[in-house]
Amino acid sequence: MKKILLLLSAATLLFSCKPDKVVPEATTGKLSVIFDNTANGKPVNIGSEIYTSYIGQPFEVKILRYFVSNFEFFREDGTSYVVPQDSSYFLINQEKAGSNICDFTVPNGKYTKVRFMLGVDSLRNTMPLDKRQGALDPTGDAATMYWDWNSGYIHLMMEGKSDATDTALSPNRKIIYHVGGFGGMTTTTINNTRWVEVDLKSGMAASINGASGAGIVMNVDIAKLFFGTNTIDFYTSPFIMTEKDAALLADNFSGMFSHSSTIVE
Amino acid sequence: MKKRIVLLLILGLYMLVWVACNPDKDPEPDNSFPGFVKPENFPAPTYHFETNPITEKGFQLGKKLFYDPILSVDNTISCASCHIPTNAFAQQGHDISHGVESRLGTRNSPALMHLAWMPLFFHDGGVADLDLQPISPITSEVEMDMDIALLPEKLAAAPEYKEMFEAAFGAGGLNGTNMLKALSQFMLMCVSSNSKYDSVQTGKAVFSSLENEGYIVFKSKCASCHQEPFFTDFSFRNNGLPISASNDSGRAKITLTNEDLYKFKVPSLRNLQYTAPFMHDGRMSTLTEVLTHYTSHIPDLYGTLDPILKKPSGTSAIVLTPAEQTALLAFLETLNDKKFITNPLLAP
Repeated sequence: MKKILLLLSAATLLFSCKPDKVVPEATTGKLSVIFDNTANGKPVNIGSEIYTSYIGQPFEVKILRYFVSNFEFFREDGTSYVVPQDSSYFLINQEKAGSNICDFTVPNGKYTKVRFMLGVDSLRNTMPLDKRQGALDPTGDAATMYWDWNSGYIHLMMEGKSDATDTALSPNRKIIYHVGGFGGMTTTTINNTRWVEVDLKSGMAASINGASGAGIVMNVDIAKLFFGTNTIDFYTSPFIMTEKDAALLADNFSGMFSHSSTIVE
Repeated sequence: MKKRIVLLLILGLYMLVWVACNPDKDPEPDNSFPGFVKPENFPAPTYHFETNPITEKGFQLGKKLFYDPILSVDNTISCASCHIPTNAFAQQGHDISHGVESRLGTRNSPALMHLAWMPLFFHDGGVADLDLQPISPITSEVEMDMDIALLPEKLAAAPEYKEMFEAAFGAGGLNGTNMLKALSQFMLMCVSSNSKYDSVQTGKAVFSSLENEGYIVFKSKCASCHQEPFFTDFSFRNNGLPISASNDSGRAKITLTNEDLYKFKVPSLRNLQYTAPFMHDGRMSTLTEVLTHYTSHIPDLYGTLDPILKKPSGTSAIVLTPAEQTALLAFLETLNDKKFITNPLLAP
């Protein structure tokens, strides 16, 4: 009798210690969001290719980098899956191939809407080094996207050239736009992060079912950074870097994003 | 008799063995790493030690980094170039310190001490975490001008660093995050708490009558901003200096409000003997100049003058008789900490 009891309890222990092994089928799958940078209909290439702004001004793109974070995926029925925050920061860098693909593991379901933040949220801007790893590492990937003097991230950086600039303001015809400002550490300041919500086109939901995943291809029109709620004229505003002025650009953020297609993976 | 000798011999042998087996009891000086020790007369520190506990190896690595010009783009400027241990980690004699290629910034190099209690760093308080502070001087064009993302590779190629990082932080420990943590571990240990003032506070010494008079003057005329035991309340205030050529707006640069225009962090009054010149831009070279400023009428030039200094026109911001000034200066002398500036643990 005692032996049986012993065996039983040993078996119980064994089972209770190995719960992971009893997963019958995958209840999660892979969902990717692919950010395709374009400018008024043309794919963005770093270099001397010329794009046209929505007010007819020519421009080139030398640097295009931005953070996307805090992803939430909505299902048809309105319920949603919030990505665990530590796995929800990405730095899209046009110069770094593959950085435009953000991979997630999400519960099975049919997703029809995605919500994310353009930029790095206030709270994360106040966190210690251990919470600033990977895309957020100020001594690594994020080194150029970080204001050392107030320990805040630059949410979006776009630099280039435009022959439309006033050379009195920009002698080398450079255009420089840095959007930072996370709301302040001890005093409330300007917060230039913005939420972006994108509905997937009808009939193009992202269906996740175990091994079968999906990719949401997002069109990011950089020309709309200068044309939306506010119009930015390269002639009068070749440089915008202060938090106050950058709010004009931040208000155009959400208009840059639209769903272009969904791919089955 | 013989028995006694044998007994004594045996006893002697035991003593020999006992001494040999108890090396700790040697009267030799204790060279072991003390770790972070909160001084008796200080409050609890506010630094997040839980995410970056100080270890001897982490501290030693931080010290090596602090004194190594490898952190600058052309290997000419180290942290210690502008934060000299014998100057209480300020740079005496320089209103503005030189960076690489002798480039000049706009502010005076502050003394590094009591960082474990300091809520905000830099004269404008722009950074709230000591671990993130070194990024600024390392990357600043007028200081070290180094691409910080390239530093781990640069350090890995130099002798000793890989081993020291791994000893302090484990296998694969050489990275930017741990570099910053090690620098914090060194800087946190820069605690000045052995001045005569501290000895008086802990009952090990007494003030002379002049020093005591000065202490009373200090408490009634200076302590509202220069609070004990750090001799600063770490707040940001406009003390009425006319703006300098660089038009440094101070705290307003961070908070983006006009209320904070030309406000700078209240500096500590400890170790003034080693840290001249004074003020955020080093514009005053002597304490006499500083006292002249405060005992004059200070006009509210930009609307943000500290209320404590706002007085009717023609009257002094702070009234101090010549005798009070002499006593005050004698008291301030008691805040100089020779042991801190000569501490071998902190020296290169």
